[in-house]
Amino acid sequence: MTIQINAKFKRSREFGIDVDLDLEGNKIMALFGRSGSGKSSILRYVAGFEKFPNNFLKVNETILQDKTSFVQPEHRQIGYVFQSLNLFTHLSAEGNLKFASERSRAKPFVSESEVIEILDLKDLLKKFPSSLSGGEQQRLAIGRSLLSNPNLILLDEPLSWLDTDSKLRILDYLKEINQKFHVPMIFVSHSADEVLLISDRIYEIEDGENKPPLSPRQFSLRYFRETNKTETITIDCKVCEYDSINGLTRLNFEGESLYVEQDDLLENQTIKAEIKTQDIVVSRFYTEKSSVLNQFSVTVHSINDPGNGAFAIIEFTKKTQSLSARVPRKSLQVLSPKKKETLYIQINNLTVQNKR
Amino acid sequence: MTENDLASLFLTLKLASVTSLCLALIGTPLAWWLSQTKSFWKNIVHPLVALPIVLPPTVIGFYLLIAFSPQSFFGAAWLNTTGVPLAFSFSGLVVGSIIYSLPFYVQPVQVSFQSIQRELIETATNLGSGKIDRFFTLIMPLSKKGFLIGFCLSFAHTIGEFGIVLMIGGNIPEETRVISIAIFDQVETLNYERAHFLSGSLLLFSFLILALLYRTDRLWNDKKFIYK
Repeated sequence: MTIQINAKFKRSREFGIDVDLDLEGNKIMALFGRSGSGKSSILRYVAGFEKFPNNFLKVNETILQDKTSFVQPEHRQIGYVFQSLNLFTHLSAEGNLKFASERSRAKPFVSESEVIEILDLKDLLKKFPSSLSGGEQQRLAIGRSLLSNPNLILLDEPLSWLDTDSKLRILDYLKEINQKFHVPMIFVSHSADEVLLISDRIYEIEDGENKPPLSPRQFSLRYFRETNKTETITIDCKVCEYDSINGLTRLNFEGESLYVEQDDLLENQTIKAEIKTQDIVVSRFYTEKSSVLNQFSVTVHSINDPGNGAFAIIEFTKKTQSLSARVPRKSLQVLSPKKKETLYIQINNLTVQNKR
Repeated sequence: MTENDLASLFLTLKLASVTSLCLALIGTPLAWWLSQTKSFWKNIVHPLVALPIVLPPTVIGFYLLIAFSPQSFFGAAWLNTTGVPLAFSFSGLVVGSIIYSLPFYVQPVQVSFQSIQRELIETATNLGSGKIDRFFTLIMPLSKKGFLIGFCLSFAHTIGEFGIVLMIGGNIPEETRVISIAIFDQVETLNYERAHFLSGSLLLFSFLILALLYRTDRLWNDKKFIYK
């Protein structure tokens, strides 16, 4: 089984796709990247919902699209689990499964009862999609796509609606399906953890283009090792005034006051301040009556816990700028940061490059 | 109730049923086309379909009368193929009613079609479902509310039709004398008792259709709520 995807097309004037991907054997390929990077567009293209000339797509010795031919999406036998799942609300869970199996083009490699057993759907069959939990809906959607007898399964952020426990369960199901039925998969995600847990071959997608493929090991080195190193981040600040009594210059960083020792900064100049990621202390509350001068609230953007080693990285945003802190993984238990919530950071050391 | 009244009542129901059925056959594909197309012609067809809502029935009736006359192309073609003229006939009334009630069927059905997510249709396609199959197994069941509203409204609206009937149908017993015309007749001859009776019946009947419609609509919504 080989999959070869060459796609070059424009979705709008500003945004285009230009990728060249391949997968050997019945493996799992991951497309990893930020939202809006074009991952879903690539899946739509493979499923046959983006028709552009001069592209090439081959799945398992079958050419689905080239210069002269275009296989209609209903004849492609490619399973597609959309991010929004798209279960049919007018049909029961069983009806949803039957919808797929009744239209399957060839003798399915997996029977309805097998799907029901593997995905644990037995108790759901009579229920309607709107009464199922997120994890149940996800399993149903995966089961339904299996029953259409696919040569390839596309999964668009299949775990985004789920809590951690259900995520791990669904990942296990997917791996089991991949190994048992030898169906290759393309797994789209913006989460490095998920990608590392499931994929055999990882393409990072940025602005509609792919980078060279990485093995899980290479990927892990690239995305998870940094948490042990120290990194320097820079922020843009505006110089306010020098306070000669205390010997400090006040800077304005997105409305917050920061103080540095330099006395030779030009007022109203925008400068870059450098912070080492281990010099940022994160706390849930504002610390009053402390010796720390540089303390302000930030919004949690993401928490990167590699799952091993001593450190994790927490990324923050302050208005349009971003910061990141290296914290001991152990402290995450006490701090329990959540995405989008407000926390306070204290900066112990801030250095300024003088432009003068 | 006199025999004449009964005949008018029966004729009215027959006209409304035939019209609604024809609308289901003509209006459904039209509503689907309107809901999906990006073609230039939508700019013309869409307002055309809605015109009967704003135009006085006499205007539609007047143009239909001209179109039905054997001197016109359409009227002549009809006369040649069927042997009877369209004006002042039941068939003529059906044609007029279809045009007159078209927006009342097409608009709710079109709105229903439009509210179906494109991705849902793509999912069915992805599972191997072709165009026709998708329409009958996915789009129609998901639009049942639109169909119910469209059917009931066009049915009720045809029953209440007066202006067009008067222009193109006249007042021929058992051919074109529908209830609304019969009422007009009775009032003109100062026969208020019969007029009262017929008007009251029509009022009650229309009320019942609408009450049933809204009740069913609510039931379907409640059912959805239970599933959640």
